Amino acid sequence: MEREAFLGRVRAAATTGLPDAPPADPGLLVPDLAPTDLIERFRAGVEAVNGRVHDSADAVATVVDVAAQVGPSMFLAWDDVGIPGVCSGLEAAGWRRLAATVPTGGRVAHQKAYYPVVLGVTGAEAGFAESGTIVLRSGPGRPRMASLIPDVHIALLPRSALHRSLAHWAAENAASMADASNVVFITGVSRTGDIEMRLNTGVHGPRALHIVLT
Amino acid sequence: MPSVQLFVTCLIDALAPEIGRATTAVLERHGCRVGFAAAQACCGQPAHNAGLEAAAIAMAGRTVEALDTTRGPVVVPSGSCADMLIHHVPELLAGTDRAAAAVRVAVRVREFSQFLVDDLGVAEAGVRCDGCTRVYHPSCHGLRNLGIDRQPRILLDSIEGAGRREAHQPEQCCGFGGLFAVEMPDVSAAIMNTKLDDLVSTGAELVVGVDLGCLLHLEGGLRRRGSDMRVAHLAEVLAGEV
Amino acid sequence: MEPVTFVDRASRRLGTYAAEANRRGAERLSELREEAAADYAPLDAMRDRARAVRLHTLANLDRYLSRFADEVEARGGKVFFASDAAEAVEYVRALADRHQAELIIKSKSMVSEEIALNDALEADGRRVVETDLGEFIIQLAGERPSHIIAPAIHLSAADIGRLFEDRLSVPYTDDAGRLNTIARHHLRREFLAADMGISGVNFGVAESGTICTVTNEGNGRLTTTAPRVHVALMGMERVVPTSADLAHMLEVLARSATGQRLSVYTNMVTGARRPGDPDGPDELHVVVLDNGRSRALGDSTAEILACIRCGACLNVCPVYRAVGGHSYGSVYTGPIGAVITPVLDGLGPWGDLPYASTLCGACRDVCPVRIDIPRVLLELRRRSMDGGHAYAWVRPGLTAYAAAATRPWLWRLVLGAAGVVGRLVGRDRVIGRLPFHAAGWTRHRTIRAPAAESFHAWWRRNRGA
Repeated sequence: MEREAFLGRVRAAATTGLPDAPPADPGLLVPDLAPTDLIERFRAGVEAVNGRVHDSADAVATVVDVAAQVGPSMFLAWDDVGIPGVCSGLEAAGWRRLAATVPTGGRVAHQKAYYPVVLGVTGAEAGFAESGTIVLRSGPGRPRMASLIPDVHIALLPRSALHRSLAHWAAENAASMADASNVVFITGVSRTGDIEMRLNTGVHGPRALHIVLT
Repeated sequence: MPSVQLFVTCLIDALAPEIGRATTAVLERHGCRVGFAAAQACCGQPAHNAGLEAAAIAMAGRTVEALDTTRGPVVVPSGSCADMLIHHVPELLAGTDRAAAAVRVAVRVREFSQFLVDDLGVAEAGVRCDGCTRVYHPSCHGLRNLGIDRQPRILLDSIEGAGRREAHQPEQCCGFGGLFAVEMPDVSAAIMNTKLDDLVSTGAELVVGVDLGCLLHLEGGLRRRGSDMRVAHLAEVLAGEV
Repeated sequence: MEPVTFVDRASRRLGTYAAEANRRGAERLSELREEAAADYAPLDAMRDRARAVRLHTLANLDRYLSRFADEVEARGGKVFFASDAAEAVEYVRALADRHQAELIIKSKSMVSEEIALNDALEADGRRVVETDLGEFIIQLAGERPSHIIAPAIHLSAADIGRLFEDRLSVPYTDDAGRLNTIARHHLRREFLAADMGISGVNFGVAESGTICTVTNEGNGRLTTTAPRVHVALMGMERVVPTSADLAHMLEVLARSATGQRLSVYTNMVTGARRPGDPDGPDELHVVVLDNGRSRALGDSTAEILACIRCGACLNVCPVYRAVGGHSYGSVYTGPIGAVITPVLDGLGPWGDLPYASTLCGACRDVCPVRIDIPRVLLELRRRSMDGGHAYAWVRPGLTAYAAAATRPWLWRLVLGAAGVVGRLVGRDRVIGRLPFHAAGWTRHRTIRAPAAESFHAWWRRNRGA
């Protein structure tokens, strides 16, 4: 149906008896919580959703160590994960970086190579401690697939980018959810209860999530 | 001495008048003078829930008219009938010549346990019952629409003698649902059996409630499965008749 | 052939493994939701806010849809407004044709089931693969979902093992972990090779044209990232005004559905691939569907469109727990299904569905947007009774009852007669068999005989007039 005809029908069906005023804003609605170190709260949140947080002095070494559990083989990565030396560190340990730019023609042929990829390394622009969530944004040099297709996802997150909760982050940053073709909140590892309500992880997304603080 | 009106409800009137007598006795024991408007019959809930608006309006209107000739709190030994009179009848009768009366009556209506505990401040049942380990079933309309839960429990907990048990999922519906019980009898019975399994598993001897509909439905199921467990209305327990 | 009445569909399912599995799933999800609610004091205020956002949106839906479409198109996406299922299906078929899409992957979309999209695309010779694990399983089994968020909950692991053995040619296993791994490997190939991805939309954001999809598995992300064309199917009521509103809705959605703070993947897509993006789809199409929703808009049932499809009402419903999702006979099940299906599809075929409830109100207590489902059920029952769509046999009995209940002299007479009958037929005041429709009661229960002396009569005798 033509847009104007469709919207005209919606308008004509207009609601009588539904409150029309925009809702009053009750402000930040968050629970009272005992003050705790933000990093510790984040770690607890991430572990509750089967992820791991690594808080060390040498992030690059941590990344290479975690990666060693599943390789070396091929990996996908962002060009810039927030600190230097990560990709070169992995390559020095024998990892091979896969091209992540999908050509406009030949998409399927290109993506076939992703099938056996076990490792993806990305940055992250924010974390929510209460839910153990990290925020990733697509853009130049930031393939979505790096956090999506591999078995293991390592995300580097600046300590300064931790927020207490989604509500706290959204109070300042909600509009930025639309500033890229894809923004994703990742809360732990891929999971399902679809078979007999039994929890299983690693259904389609990564089976393991490691967040390395920088 | 406070004067109260009793709205006894059609089910109690026809099937268990002893509950009406017990309600009267308990109110009188707590110092009330009880009146009973003879023109009352049914609040209209069965027709309202069936979607038969005209019949519901007729019945609710007649009841409102009868009660509006009286004054004082209207005490109702049924959570669902009290809910009907308070929350649905004013809307049902809006635009009729009984609209104002409906509103006047609605603000006077109090469910029985609510009246005793919240209005009269009764905290002690003042009875003893040795042979009645009891489990309380909070009927849905009273529970969710009138907040009735704490009041019966306060009274039941103060009874000397045998104690109280708790079901595993006390707030799950018993499956009565009024005409639902005969419109969808197998589904109603399936829900009833889940509830009965829960109640029976507590080992209690008695199921106590504030809505006769639910109690008759549960009792019917208990008898059919050959169980010894009994049902009683809160008023009967408080009147020492159990 | 599936029976046409709720009671018939329910009767054949009561006590079956499938219904019991639905019950266990529902109880577990309810427990999780309760734990999350107990643990989170602001939830009530958040529900108030969520309801206010949704109702305000519905009251201004044409404006917000217009803005939404403008924003999607400003970022290179295409928006198609489908007045009904046929238009929506046609659009997607034509798109699949234009792109010669032989393999289509899908993430969770109730709208796609509502419009029977898969059947149409398969009839065109295209392969359509559901990627949500539960939907994948029921697709293989040729069944409908039995629960809004756990569609295959009515099947056992053994059922699924046999299904996979038969349809995927893998060795039989009933180990849930191994079954998941089988699905992961199988579906990965499909994801990476698909020509088109079709997703649902949890929320559309009017101010930015953002589409938000929420999954725990990651199939939502893969469906909207890997193929070159992404088609998003959105019920027209699923918009919110701003990104801030989206954040508010996200806070109540996962908590109400599964007790999680947030689902694993909350995915926001705004337009297709941008210049410089290494991956993502080349094209984005959003299909906005009416299909009967505008019928609810101007009506006292409008609040049912506020639903965010969390499934909390299903999980607490005593009827759903007893009969399972398939008894509702349609895509939408449980309490919300009992109101949405008759509104979208008419009371003619669905006149009995609003009666599939005891009006206990548990659904209203848990709904994150506080839809007063019992009130809507009563409204639909009025319409159903007026139109003669169901339970017509109730009318003469209740009309006669009302005649007696409005005439004190007749009421006295009836109670007196009942008392006589009671004394005659009741043994120890118990009746084992009732006639006509009332036999439904005594099929499973006894009933007390009417009292020999009614309360009215007792009062007259003991207390004067």
